[in-house]
Amino acid sequence: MFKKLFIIVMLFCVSSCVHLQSVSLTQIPAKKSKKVETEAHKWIILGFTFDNDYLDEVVPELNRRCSNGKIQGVLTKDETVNYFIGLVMKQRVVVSGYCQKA
Amino acid sequence: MKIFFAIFLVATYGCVVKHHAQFGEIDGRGGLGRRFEVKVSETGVNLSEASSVAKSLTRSKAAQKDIETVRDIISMFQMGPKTGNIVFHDDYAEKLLSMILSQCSSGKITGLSLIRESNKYPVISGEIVKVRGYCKLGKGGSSV
Repeated sequence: MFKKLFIIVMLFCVSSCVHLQSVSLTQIPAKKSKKVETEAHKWIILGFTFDNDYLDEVVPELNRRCSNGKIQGVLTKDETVNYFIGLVMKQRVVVSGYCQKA
Repeated sequence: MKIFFAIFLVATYGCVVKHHAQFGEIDGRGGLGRRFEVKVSETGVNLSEASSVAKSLTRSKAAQKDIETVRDIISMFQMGPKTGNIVFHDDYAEKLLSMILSQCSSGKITGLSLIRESNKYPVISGEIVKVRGYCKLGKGGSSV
C-alpha cells in the first residue's frame, strides 16, 4: 500500500508540464539560408522572481551567431515548464530565425 | 517583531510575472547600434485581494456579503482572456511608438524586443509593457 502511494506521489512530483504562453513570427524571407537559434531561461522557485533581465542577452547572442548579417523570419516561443507540482518552474524563451548575408 | 515581519513581507513582495515576450528582426550589418529601453505602465487592481482586504475591515456579515456581491458583479464584466490585473485605462500603451522614436530619432531601429509583464504588489500591480531595441546610426552619424 505504502509502495503504491509512494509511486503515485513520485509520479506527480517528477512529472513536468509545459505551457506555451505565446508564439510570434516575423516575415519569412523567400530565400531561407542558415538557421540560427538561441534560448534564454530562468529558474523560478516558489514563484519568486524580480526581473526578466535574462531576456537581455537574446538579441546580442543571435547577432553573434549571424555576425554582420540580417536575421529574418524570427520565431519567438515563450514557454513555461513546471516541475515538482509547480513549486519549481523554468521560464524559457526560444528565438530562431534565418541569417541572411549580403 | 510581528510588525517587522509584516512590513518586511509587504516591502519585499514585488514579484514580476512575464506574460508575453516577442522579438523582431535583427539587422546586425554594421553593428547593432546603441541600446535603448522604453517602458509604459498602468496600475492594475486585483479584485479578489481588494475584496478580501475590504472584508477584513468590517465585522458586519451583511457588509461582507455586500462586498462579495460587488466583487462578483465587477468580475462578470471582466470575463475573457487577459494578462495581469484589470486596469482602468486601455490606452496607456499607445504612446509607445512616439517614445521609441524619441529615443531613436534616426528611425533605424533593429532588434526590438517587447515584454509584457506585471509587477505584483498586495492588491495592486504595475501592468507594464517594456520595449528594448537598438538604434543604428543615422546619415549624420548620430544615433539619438
